[in-house]
Amino acid sequence: MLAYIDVKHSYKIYGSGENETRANDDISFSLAKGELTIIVGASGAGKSTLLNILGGMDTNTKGDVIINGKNISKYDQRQLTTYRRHSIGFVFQFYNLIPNLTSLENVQLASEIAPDALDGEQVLNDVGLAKRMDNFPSELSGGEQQRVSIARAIAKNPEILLCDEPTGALDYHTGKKVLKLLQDFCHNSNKNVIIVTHNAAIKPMGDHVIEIGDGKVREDKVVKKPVSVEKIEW
Amino acid sequence: MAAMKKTLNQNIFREFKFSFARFISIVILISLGVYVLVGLKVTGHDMRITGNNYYTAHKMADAYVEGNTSFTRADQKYIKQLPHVSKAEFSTYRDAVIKNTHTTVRLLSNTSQISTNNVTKGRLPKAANEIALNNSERGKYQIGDSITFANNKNQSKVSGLKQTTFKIVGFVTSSDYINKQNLGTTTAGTGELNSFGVITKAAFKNYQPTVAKLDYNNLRGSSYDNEFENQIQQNVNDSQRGLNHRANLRQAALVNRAKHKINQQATELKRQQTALNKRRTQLSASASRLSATQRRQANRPIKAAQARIDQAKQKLQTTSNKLNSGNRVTYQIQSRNDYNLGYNEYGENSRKIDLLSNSFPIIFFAVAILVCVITMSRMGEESRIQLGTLRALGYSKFDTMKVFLSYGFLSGLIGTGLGAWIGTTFLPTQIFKTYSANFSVPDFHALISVKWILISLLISLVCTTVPGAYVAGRSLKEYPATLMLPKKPKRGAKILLERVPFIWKRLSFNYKVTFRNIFRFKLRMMMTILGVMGCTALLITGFGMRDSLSGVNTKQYHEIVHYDIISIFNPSATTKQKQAYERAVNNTSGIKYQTQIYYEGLTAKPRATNNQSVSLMVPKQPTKLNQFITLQNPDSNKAIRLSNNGAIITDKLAHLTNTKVGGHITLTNSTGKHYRIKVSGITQMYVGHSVYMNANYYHHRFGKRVAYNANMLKLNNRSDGNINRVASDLNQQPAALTSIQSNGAKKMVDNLLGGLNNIVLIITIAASALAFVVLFTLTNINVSERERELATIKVLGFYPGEVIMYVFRETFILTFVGILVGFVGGAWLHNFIMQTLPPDNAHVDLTLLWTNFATSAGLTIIFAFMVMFLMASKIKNIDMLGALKGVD
Repeated sequence: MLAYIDVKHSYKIYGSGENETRANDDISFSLAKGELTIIVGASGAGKSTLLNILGGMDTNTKGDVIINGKNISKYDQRQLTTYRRHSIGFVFQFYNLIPNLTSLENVQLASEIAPDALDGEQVLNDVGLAKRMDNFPSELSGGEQQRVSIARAIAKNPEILLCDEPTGALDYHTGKKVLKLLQDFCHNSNKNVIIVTHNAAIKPMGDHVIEIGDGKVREDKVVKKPVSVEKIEW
Repeated sequence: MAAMKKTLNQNIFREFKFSFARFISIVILISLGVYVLVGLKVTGHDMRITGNNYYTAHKMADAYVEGNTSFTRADQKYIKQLPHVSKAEFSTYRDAVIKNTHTTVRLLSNTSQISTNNVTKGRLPKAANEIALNNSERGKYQIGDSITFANNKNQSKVSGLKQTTFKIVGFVTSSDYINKQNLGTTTAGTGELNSFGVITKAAFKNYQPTVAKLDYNNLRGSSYDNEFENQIQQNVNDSQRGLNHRANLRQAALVNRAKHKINQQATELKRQQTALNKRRTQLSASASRLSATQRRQANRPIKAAQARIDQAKQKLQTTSNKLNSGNRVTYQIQSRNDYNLGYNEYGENSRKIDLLSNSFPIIFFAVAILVCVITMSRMGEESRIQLGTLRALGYSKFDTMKVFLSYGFLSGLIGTGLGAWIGTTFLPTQIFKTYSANFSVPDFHALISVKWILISLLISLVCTTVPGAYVAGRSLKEYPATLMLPKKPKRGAKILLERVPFIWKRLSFNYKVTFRNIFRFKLRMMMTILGVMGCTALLITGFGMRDSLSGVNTKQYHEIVHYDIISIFNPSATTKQKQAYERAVNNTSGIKYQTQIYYEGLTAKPRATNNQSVSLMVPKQPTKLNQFITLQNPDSNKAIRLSNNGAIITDKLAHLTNTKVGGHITLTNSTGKHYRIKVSGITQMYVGHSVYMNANYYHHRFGKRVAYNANMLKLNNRSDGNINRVASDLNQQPAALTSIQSNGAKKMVDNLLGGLNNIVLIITIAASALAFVVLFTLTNINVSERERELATIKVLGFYPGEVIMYVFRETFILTFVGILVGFVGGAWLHNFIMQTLPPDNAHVDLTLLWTNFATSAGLTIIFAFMVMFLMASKIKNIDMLGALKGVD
């Protein structure tokens, strides 16, 4: 199996000598194309650092991070920005919608800068917000806002959809719907979706689960038959 | 508890430390506002106080009576008894030229009680051969030097003085001559008085007083106070009629004495003629007895005697004619404002600054305050969570608000202190310095104006403490628990522009976002526009003022006034002298055109302002007048002609006296006689008031035929040096009285311009600083309020330039709008200031040049870019990871 995402001996080290802290300590894993990956770990385990490195918002100290053949660990700031722009769709825990833009405009804000962007209206239609297109974020519920956020990420037509605690600010049922949306998108579009979470209960829905603890990979498991989100309870 | 408070104080201290840029911004804004307000408010007052101190130190005369003939003892007694005169002192003077130069000097007899000459170095003259010179000559002469004066022909002979060479024993200052350059007009040299010196009465040949210096006992207040000035003017007005009567008596006495003398001479001549006739008869009786040669010899003395007698008769006839037609005796009384050119100009200048102080600082202060209010309310909002936490911890409302109070109080106090300090010391001194180039008033008194400092402190403190405390206080009404939750971001909303699909659809996505954001924060939008508008308007006004004033000279001397000299002669000089004068005029090299006119200095008394000097000119050949002066309608530039039933007056005079074509204007001559003159036209003029009429209308109005007394000259070479040369050459003629140089007004405008240039510079720098701080502060708030938004778009993959433009597109649009509105505001402010700022006798072109707009807009745009570069690093440093965190 050819790795689409390949992380090899990646370290993130702060300080030196006595004060040295290793947020990521020799992390390696490979993800195949089209996998829904759940990166799970407790607070402070180093999963956020990993997310930042994968998302091109931070660089590792040593090791390689190869995304679809591009070694982003060697990238400078400008290249990282281009990488974020073209390759990453980001879904935030707190949605991070621009309050002054309508749903459609929030989606367009991202698609404007991506080279192979999808049609914003179509994407919003796909996430079930056809009727909320002209509403401002303050007029939407939390779930709806997160769907706009997902639509914004999808519309860029990125290589990876990176989701940071996507259900963290949502109630149980809404959270489930959002996860379902992500799972369906992954399986229908054959794009890689990476969900970073502390909620181990959602592990069964992933095609690939990576558990992080104390900066290291504790478990790296490819799930043969992932469970549909509807069947998971927590 | 004490420990807790200590931590609270620590927290307050941190607030200062972490938001140092904001703190500095507020301090700068407040100090700029206070600086300009206090500075301009006190300067005019300081100048008047300084002037008043100077006048008091010199016991300056309240009024002057000046005679063109010396006062008799009875006259002196009469003057001493004029109403309200507490003291009178008499003196006289002669004007001379420093030998081998063009420098004209007034040699005054020293006075000890009124208008004294105060010694700055050395001492006052004691002996007849000693002189104390004007203090401004200290660079050129030293004590112990001797100085020689000459008449207009450069001969060491000055009429009325016993000697012409004096030993310099000291240097003095005087309140009567406070101008440094043009001290007045004179019959000596070039016609412009350059300096003065003090000599003893003994230095005069047959000392007779011609000037009376008066002190009044009914004055209240100090120099330049309305009450003070009006009282002097009233005293002066009340006394003129009586003085005219004295002058008439003196005239009659002089005529009688002269008549008596003429009669005596006539009798004597008659006697001689009779004797001669007798001899002639005797001679003819004895002629037969004489040879032809003897007869011739005897006849010769008789012929010579006859010639002598004829000549004497002729001379007697002219003297007698002159008596009837000659210069009448005048005793003119004038207030400080009229007898003292410098006093008037100095006061005018100080009032111009008062005028500026009523417009400029208000804009500065308003802009500064608005920005402070916004900044401090923003601070109140930012600290929401902190407030909630402190409240939850059990601190009192006052304790939690302490941070705003101390922050606001300190910034307001420091800002006011700084502004008041520079405003009290630097600004007035700088402005005064520019004027002291023209006035010899030293020792500037920078007074601390408690009133204005307190007013600015009050306003500043209100603006720095209240908004923060108010916003925080409003939040404190909520429960700590809700307070600790972030406030929901301001809702987005459709803007009006979206209802115009025609435009909205054409906007690119980025501009849609920009316009939404602009209208999301309406208050900040207004503030940015207002701030930029204020600054652009101030810059336009500053540059425009300078150009408008400097345009006066170019326009005046290129478009309106073409003559260089009006050479005034004495129409009652002997025919021979007049012929010599005419020859001198005709022989002067380099004259392009010349014409004869009648010239007289009159006074207009507009109700709203001081007395205005007006030049009356009656051309001998009205058709040639346009070679010397262009008479044209100020609006249409259409030529105006002199008519038989009215006079043409200059536009500023018409404006001051509120006269229209067809109306009347009253002018007063030196003896206080009024003439009501019909206005047949109003002509364009930039500096000085004039009235032009033809000989017919003059005859009609003044009741006598015009006696031409001046030559108007236009020279080929219009340089100052050449004008001075021609003027002093002509003044050498005994028939010449004085020369009026058209460039006198030029110098006055140049001086005023010099003074204003510095003020303009100060205002421009302050306005630039204001523009910068305003843009910086507002952009800073904009960026910090939207840090999360900016972090998000960074995560989305916006390049740094795109992120900056995401914010600055708004700033630029608002700056652009602000500049456009500023154009309108600047034009208005400039118009407002230029209508009142120029001297009363100057008319200033109010049109702004396109360069004024371009420079001001250019500067504002440069500031916007500078702010952008400063902000770029702040935006660059916004941490993307901040977007991942919860809202805080």
